[in-house]
Amino acid sequence: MDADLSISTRTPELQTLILRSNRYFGASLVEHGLLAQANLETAFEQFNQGLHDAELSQVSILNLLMNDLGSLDEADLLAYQMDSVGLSLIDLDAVKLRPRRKVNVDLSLCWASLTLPFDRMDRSYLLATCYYLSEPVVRYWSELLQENVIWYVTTMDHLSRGIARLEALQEVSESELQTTQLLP
Amino acid sequence: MPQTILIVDDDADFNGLLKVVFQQADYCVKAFQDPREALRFIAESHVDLIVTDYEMPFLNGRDYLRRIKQTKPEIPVLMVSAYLDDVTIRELLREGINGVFQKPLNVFALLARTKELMSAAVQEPDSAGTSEPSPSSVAAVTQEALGFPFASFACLHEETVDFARSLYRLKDFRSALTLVGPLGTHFRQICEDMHGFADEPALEYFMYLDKASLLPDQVKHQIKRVLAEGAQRVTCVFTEAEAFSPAQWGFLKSLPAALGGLQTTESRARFIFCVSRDLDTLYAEQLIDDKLYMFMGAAEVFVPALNQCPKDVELLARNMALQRIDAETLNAAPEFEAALRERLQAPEWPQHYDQLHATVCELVATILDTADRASRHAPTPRPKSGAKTRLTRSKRRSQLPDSSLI
Repeated sequence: MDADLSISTRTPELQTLILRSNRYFGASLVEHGLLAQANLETAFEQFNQGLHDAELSQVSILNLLMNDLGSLDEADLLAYQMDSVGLSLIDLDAVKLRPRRKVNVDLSLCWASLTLPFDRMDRSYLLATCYYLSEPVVRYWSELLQENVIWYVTTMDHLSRGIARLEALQEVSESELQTTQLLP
Repeated sequence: MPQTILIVDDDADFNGLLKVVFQQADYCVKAFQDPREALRFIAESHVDLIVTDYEMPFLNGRDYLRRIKQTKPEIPVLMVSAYLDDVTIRELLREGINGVFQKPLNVFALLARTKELMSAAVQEPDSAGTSEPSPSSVAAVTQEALGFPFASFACLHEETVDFARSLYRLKDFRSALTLVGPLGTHFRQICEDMHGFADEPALEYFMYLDKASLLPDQVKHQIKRVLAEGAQRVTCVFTEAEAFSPAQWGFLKSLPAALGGLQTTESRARFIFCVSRDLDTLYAEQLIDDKLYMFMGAAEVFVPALNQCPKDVELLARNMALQRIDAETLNAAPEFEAALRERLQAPEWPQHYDQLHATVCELVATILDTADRASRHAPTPRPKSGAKTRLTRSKRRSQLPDSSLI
């Protein structure tokens, strides 16, 4: 049975996921020697400033570290996850995404945890993520999907485009559904 | 078959004393006054443990130890000496010494360590040379293991070593650090260790604030006053933060926004939160809000519980005792070691450090009472000129450090 994961924007559950995902991700970067403590503290301060005002897609420590503060090199992060953790890299641009067929998921969860379930094979979900180093993210998705999860790492750009493509596809899909329901 | 101990000491009296002590403990003893003769014996015979002096003719203790480790590295070696400084002890540890005992000798501690090493040798013949060092070298062991001073734990366990290193790595944290430890944790000692990590501790000011002393209206003023008086940085330590009133928590929640004002030109004010539950729990219980969760979460470090580090506990207890009475009195009270071992038999330490502290205080009080009784019954000798007079109980007690600092 496909997962049906409905959740509205910025519920307490989603807010908690955002906070925990980002906090653990930041701490993990320091722990693995990918970021200095001082840079993490600056990022957390800026994160706090935009926490309630920023767009959901923009509320991420990774985004702050890479784009606003320039204190994290994404190539280093990917290399670490592939070399030390043993994950594979996925190019989401080359993946054909299909809404509400194999994976039915509220996309706000994806923005909150920078993670996208992009396919399902047999009894395994295939997930692409920028936040594999964040333990709550891995645990949250594993518990939510309750099936075997195969993790891939991806870049922030690829993930953002992937979620945006899926959002667009879901909108089309929903409008088609509404049109069908309106037909006599 | 009894195990064989080899004694090397050029002082005939002390050599004889050690021989009797070990023979009465049912060991087979071979004693030498000349270390060169002892080396020849070791090369040709079976020896289970060596007890040696440091200052000896022909070979000093370090050279003697090296010679043994070159030929029979599996034999554990204990050193007994009148005086050894920390540098020498560290060097001896690097060379592989298994314990250092300073005179006046605590015979019970020496026998206990001997028994430990003998048992280890029987169980794991190959590991005899890597056994843990003796209690008398705690300071050296901690410095040796970490490379920086640390008194909160003896660091004989991976957990405590990791904890000390995490704190040291965070010594220059800029905004907030959260220490999560079980109830009874010695947060103040831990923060004093952090204070000691500073490049110039005298220019750092640590302000300890508990429920009684945290006055939200005054904290910012206090910080600014201390900075104006010349402190380079102020660290506010909120001890037992979970006991704070709603108004005090309201103040803490204002910190993330207020931090910019407090830091003005440099990063000059920072905060340590001491709590017993982790941040996820505090957030789930709505004690902290979103912003405080992230603020406190910049660094969350977990203090090991005492039941995770049993080897540390005995050494911590001894250090606590030494903070309350002098080493001479402690060493002259063999009942302390015995009672301590008995009390430390695998307790769970539900009140953590506070419980250990109370246990040690009780034992120390017993020692002082015993010493008092003994002095009342003994004839009072006329003090010799220049002789060291022992402190009376009341004098010793007046010298005790403030217990709130321990």
